[in-house]
Amino acid sequence: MSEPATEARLKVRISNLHKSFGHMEVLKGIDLDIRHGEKVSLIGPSGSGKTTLLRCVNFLETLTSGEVYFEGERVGARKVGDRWLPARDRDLARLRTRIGMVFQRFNLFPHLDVLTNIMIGPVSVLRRDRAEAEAEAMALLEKVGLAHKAKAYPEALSGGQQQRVAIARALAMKPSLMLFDEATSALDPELVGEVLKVMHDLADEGMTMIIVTHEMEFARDVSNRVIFMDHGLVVEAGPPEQVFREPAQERTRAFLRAVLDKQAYRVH
Amino acid sequence: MSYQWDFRLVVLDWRMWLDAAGNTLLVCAAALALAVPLGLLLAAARMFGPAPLRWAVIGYVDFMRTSALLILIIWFYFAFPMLFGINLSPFMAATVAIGLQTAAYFAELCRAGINAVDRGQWEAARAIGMRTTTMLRLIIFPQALRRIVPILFSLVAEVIKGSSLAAVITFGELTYAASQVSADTYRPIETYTVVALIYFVIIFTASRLASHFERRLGFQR
Repeated sequence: MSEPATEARLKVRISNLHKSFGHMEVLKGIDLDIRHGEKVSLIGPSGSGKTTLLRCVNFLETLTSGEVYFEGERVGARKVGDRWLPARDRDLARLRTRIGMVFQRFNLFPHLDVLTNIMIGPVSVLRRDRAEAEAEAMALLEKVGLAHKAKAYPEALSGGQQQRVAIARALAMKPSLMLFDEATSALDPELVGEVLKVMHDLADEGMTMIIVTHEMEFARDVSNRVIFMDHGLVVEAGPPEQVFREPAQERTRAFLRAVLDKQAYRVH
Repeated sequence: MSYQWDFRLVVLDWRMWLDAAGNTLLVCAAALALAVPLGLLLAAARMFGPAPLRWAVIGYVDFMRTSALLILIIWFYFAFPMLFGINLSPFMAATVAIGLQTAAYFAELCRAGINAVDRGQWEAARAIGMRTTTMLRLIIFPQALRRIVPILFSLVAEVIKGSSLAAVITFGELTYAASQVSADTYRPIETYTVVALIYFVIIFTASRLASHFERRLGFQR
């Protein structure tokens, strides 16, 4: 496939992406363009492929076929002459410095204190000056409301605090795209809000975000576009008002009914 | 009938015991000096090497782990010189045999320790753009070490105990010394009681040092 000029303006272009684990096809041909500054929520039942799709964007999963472009650069492949070869360790590393990722299970480095968790990327990957990196890490901690925990170790933090540190760790790399993989799913209900607030602020600042989430209200509030996936396919996509209020597909309606019923139950 | 214990003759030549204990420690230290770097290389080759190298390492590790140490020691002392024309002293033969086998165990220990680090840690490190070498050095090894170090001690204890087998090739370590003393004094019960105590003191001291070391490094998790 050629690389049309529009790709440079697109943050992410996914075209005819297939992904299989063994004989199981998890993504069955996904096409998706994400513009600069856009916030896209991926919703759908578990097993629908939304997390796998997210992980293909920064190549934590290899692609079975199809293509992913990030800022016009093909992900997971490099061109040598007129042939595409698999990306090398260093190519992937360089690409990932520009894409932040937040995991469901936080994945903070347990042997490092909070400040070091945040600084380690800028210092060891971007070769930033240590003092500068520390000052910026402190500023990020301030921003997520955890400056007083700089010297604490991850195990001493609540889940919500750990996830806020994880967001700060990703932001320290100054990424131009943030991927959130069910960032609040592992949290106790009373801790979800503090993490969503940080994500909300980030959205307000104009960060391009792809968000896999079960928090429908949040998806409605921050996204420009909601994408409903099921069985490895995009079933429905559109502005949140449309997808949530008047979904065109029966499968979307059934899913939303089930999820919203559960959420209503939780409130009462 | 009660046995009349008499340790006088057995401990008379205490300098000899000290030398023998020194030789035991020396052969263990030499074997470990061979085993640790070799084990690391084997583990790295098995985890990150190309397929043929991985198979070779798997074969080596399986062979070494299923070999009787006593046979290895005898083989390196008697068979190796005949096959390769290189004579090994008893010390060298024991060092090589114990070292090569311990390297196989240590390689597996390292591999298990590294694999036990949660996949999320690898992914988080990759996600912030770390290359494999940086990730291993800063994120994976430090966490694997916490699992490896406590088990490494039991491996060291095995090496110390295994070194007693070097007695069969007349290397002058503790067990060989015991057999000499026993023959000279006709006091086998006292002799082997003494040598058992010396092994206990050595291994127990090593164990205390190891836990002190663990605490110092903050491996309390």
